[in-house]
Amino acid sequence: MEGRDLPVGRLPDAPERLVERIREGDEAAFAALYDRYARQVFSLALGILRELEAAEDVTQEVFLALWRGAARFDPRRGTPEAWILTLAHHKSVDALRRRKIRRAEPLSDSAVGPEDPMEEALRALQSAQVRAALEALPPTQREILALAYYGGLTQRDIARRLALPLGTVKTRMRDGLLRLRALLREAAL
Amino acid sequence: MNYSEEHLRELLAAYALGALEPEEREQVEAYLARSAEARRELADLMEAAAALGAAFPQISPPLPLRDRLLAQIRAERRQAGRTRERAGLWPAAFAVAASLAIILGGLAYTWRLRVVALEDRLARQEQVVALLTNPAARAATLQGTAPGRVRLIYDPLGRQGALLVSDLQDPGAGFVYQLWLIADGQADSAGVFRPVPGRPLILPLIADFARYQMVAVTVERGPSGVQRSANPPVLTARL
Repeated sequence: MEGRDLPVGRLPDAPERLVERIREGDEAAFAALYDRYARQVFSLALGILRELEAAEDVTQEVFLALWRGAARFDPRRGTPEAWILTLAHHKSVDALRRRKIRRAEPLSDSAVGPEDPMEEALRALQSAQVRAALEALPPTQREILALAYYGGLTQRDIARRLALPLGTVKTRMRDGLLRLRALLREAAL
Repeated sequence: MNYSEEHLRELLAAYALGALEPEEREQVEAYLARSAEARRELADLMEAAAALGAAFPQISPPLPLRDRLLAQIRAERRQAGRTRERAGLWPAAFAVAASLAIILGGLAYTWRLRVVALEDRLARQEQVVALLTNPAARAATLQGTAPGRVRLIYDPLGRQGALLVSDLQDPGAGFVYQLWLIADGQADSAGVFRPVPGRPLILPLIADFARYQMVAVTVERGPSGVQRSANPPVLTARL
C-alpha cells in the first residue's frame, strides 16, 4: 500500500476531471460528482414529476447512467453540467411518459380531473429570472416550450394537441428557444 | 430517410428540449458527430434549455440515496473486476485496488448506523413543519469555532429530528462536515453534509434522540467522512 492513496481524499474539483476519473472507475470521484449535482438533478426531476418517490428513482437512474456511461461524455458538446442536466431531463420526461400511460387507466378519484403536469411545473418555477423571460415570450412560443420541456411532449404530440401544422410547431419551438436564450443573456448582463 | 443539413439544423432546438421522435433524434446525433458548428450551436441552445430546468425550487434528495448508489456502483465494479480477472487481463496493481474496494465495501456494510437518515420518503418539508409545530420538540443551537447558524430540532420522545444549517462557511475543497450524536462518550455518525451558499440546508434525521446527550459537527475528508473521528468538533450542543 506504500505510496497509494485511499480512494477518499484529494479530490480534484473540475467536473471534467471528475468525469475522467469516473471513467477509470474511481468511486470517490463518483461520490464527489454526486455531491455536486444530486441536488440539481433531484430538483429538476421533482419539478417535472411532482412526486418525491419518482424523483428519487430518476436521480438514481441518472447517476447510475453517469457511472456506466462516463466514457460517452463528449466535452465538445458542452459542459458536464449540461450533460448531466440533459440526462436528468430525458429520464424525467421518460418517467412522465410512462406514468401518463399508467394514468390513462380508469382510476380517477379526483373531482378536479387529471392534473396537468406542465401546469404544475410552471406554477412551481422559482427562478424569477426564468419566469420573467418566459413571460416575455409570445404566448404561442411559451406554450410550446413548456409543453416540450415541462410536459415531455414531442413536436408531433404538440402539433396534435394544439391542432397546429407540424411545421408551425417546429418554427415556434426554435424561435422560442432562441428568443429565450437571448432574454436570459440580457437578464444576466 | 436522410434530412438536409438545413432541416437538421432546425431540429437542434427541439433536440435540446428533448422533443424529437426517436428517428429524428438519431439523425440529429449523427449530424452532431460530424459538424463542429452544430455542436457549438447545440451547446448554446442547451444552456437555455438547462435554465428551464434550473428554475425549480432546489431540494436535496433523501440522504440514503447516496449510500444506496455508492453500494450499487461498488457491486458493479466488483462484478466487472471478476469478469476481467477470469479473462486473465488483470494486472496486479488493479488487484490491490480491487481488494481495497472490497475491504471498504465490507466496512460500509458492517458500519451499522444507529442513526439513519430519513428512509420513508416523507417530504422533508413536511417532517420539518411537523417538528416545528410539535409542542414537545426541542431546539439545540450548536456553537463552536465555525461561524454559522446550525440548529438541531428534535423530538425527544419520538425519533424525528432535523438539522437546520444556514450561513455556515464552506469546509474547503475535498472536505465535508460530519454530524455526530454522542451517547456515553460514544459518537455515532449521522452523515455528512456540505452547506449550500446562500441557501438554508435542512437534513431530516431519524434517531433515538432520548439516548443521546450531545450533538457535534467535525470537519472530515470528503466525500464520505470517517467512521471514527480524531478531529475536535467545530460545533457542539448539549441535548
